[in-house]
Amino acid sequence: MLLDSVLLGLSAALTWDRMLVMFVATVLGLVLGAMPGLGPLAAMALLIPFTFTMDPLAAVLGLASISVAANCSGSFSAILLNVPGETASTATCFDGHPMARQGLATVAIGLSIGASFVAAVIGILAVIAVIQPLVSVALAFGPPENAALAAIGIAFVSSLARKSITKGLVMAALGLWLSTVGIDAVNGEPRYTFGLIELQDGIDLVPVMTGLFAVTEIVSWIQERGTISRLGRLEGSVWRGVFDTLRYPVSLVRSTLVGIGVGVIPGVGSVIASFLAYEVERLSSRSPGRFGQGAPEGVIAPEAANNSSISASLAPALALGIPGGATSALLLVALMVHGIRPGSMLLTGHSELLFGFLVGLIIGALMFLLVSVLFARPLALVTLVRAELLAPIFLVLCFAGVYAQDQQFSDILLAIIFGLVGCAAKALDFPPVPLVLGLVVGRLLETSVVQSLAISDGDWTIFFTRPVSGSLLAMAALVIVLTTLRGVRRKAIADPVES
Amino acid sequence: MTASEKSTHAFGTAFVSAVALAGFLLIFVEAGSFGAGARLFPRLLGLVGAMSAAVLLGQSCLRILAQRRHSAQRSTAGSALDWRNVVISYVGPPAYAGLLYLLGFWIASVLGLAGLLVLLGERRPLVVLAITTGTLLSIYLMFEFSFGIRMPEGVLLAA
Repeated sequence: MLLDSVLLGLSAALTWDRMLVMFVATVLGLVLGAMPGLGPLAAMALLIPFTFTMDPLAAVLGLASISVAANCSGSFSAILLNVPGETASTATCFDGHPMARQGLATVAIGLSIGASFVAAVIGILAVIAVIQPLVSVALAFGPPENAALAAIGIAFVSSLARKSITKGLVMAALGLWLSTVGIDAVNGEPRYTFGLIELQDGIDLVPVMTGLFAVTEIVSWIQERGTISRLGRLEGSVWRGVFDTLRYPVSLVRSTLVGIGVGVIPGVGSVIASFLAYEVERLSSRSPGRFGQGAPEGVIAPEAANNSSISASLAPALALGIPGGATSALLLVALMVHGIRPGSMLLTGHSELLFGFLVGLIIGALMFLLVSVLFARPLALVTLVRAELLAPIFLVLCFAGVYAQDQQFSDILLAIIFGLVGCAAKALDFPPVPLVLGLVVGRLLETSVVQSLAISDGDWTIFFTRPVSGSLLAMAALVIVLTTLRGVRRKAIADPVES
Repeated sequence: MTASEKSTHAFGTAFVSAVALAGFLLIFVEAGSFGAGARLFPRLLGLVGAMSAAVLLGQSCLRILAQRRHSAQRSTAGSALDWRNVVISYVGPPAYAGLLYLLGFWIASVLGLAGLLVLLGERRPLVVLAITTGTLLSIYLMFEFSFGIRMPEGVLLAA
């Protein structure tokens, strides 16, 4: 069955015109994804008008290729500059950037490319093989389970704040609060807008991420000077990184499975998948102290989970017409423009298109692997440029990217404000990542909590009596308790005065 | 970290957690003015955030007390800090944003890029010119030419 589907897909996708569309889209996605402020969505938006004249398969393959390439190149800026191009690349900063600081930028990019490629291929094969059972599992997730999944994501990310989990929780609460600013998604009521029209649409992720990561990094470049690579040269090669991925098969497969499991649930997204995979990898490691210092598994895990979750999110999108995120929503729009409705009709009436698309994604992933290996070394040279040259260039690029998103000057002000928040957080060891995750999952968490309480007539026990949500919440509580105890014990050993 | 740096760090954390505690309490109180459906989540957040901030405040106060008791036994040597770089790093981005608002993207970026490069020690005019031109040309090609996005115009020039 799997082989038949793959062969059917190969015969549909392997034509020169479709391959050319995918190649151009991959190169374009790679360039656009590396620009601060521009991500997969902007790249897809640029390509959509050109897809109207293409055949349906070429159109969706082009859009998927540009999205995958832009998504993956967002990790390059996370590794090289400590500035994630996409929210889902944030966890890649933890170990990718320390590797760049050790002169291993090309190896880290190679690890990211290798993990992305393998995970994307496994994810797509999983979708082809078990698209229908996967969707039925996803549909078993209701609002209480979604709320519990968001809660466990926040618990895991807060526990990454090694020095103090309380600081992680304060930042997560701040991020969750920021997600409530604007018109309330459930009741349509303005909240915390202070009468400002600019805040009615809520606080966008791009200025927050630019401020917290890019502006903070630019400030530290100016203060510390020197080059990002402390060695002053590049060690290793991109291919070494790509092949090193295979030296960690357990991490690779485990993170890919985490990504598939999370990606198949509509609306949860790859951000939670990448953080969960990172934390699962850290907790299962025999030497968790290496994480955050440049551990290869710390790059492999979030990249594998991110890419497999994007592939898996196509299952509910294609089989049920429920988009897992904004990118799969745009893919559905492209299909509908060509008169094709997602759902059971796609599985039965357009199987050539469906499997051609899925197999085309595997070819696209291979194309991305080859193209990005060519680009990786020139990009990694940025870690050898002196900070006094790099800082002004990136400041102007970042502000241009932030403005371009919604063309509002207020976004630049937000980036400055969050830049100051990021600098203070860095100085006082408050982790910025829980704030970002809080902002990302805040709306999902609130909507799920409100819907769950509506289902149960206001009975809060609904979260604990359902087996999946109850187990996930118990796991979240366990993570917080264990991390707190471990932190107390570590402090008592390291510095008895302060404990 | 030296003893004085640790002390500053603990005072900073105590200050930030006190501000966070006040902020989360305000969020909790303000949520009372929303409708029944819209107030639940912010109230929950205000409560959880305030509890976390209160724990953090308690922890940092205990740390300050512990450090005071043992401060005499610790070294007080501080690290050298280049204050010029610190001032440029914090004033540079907001000053550039101010220029953007007043003069618009293109003029502000020429001034901001060239000015920051010179302030940070780059004295070769050709390098400054090449970086400024290259950066702005790539932004023009990417945003205005490809996406048709017009970069912001300054209020002074618009008037």
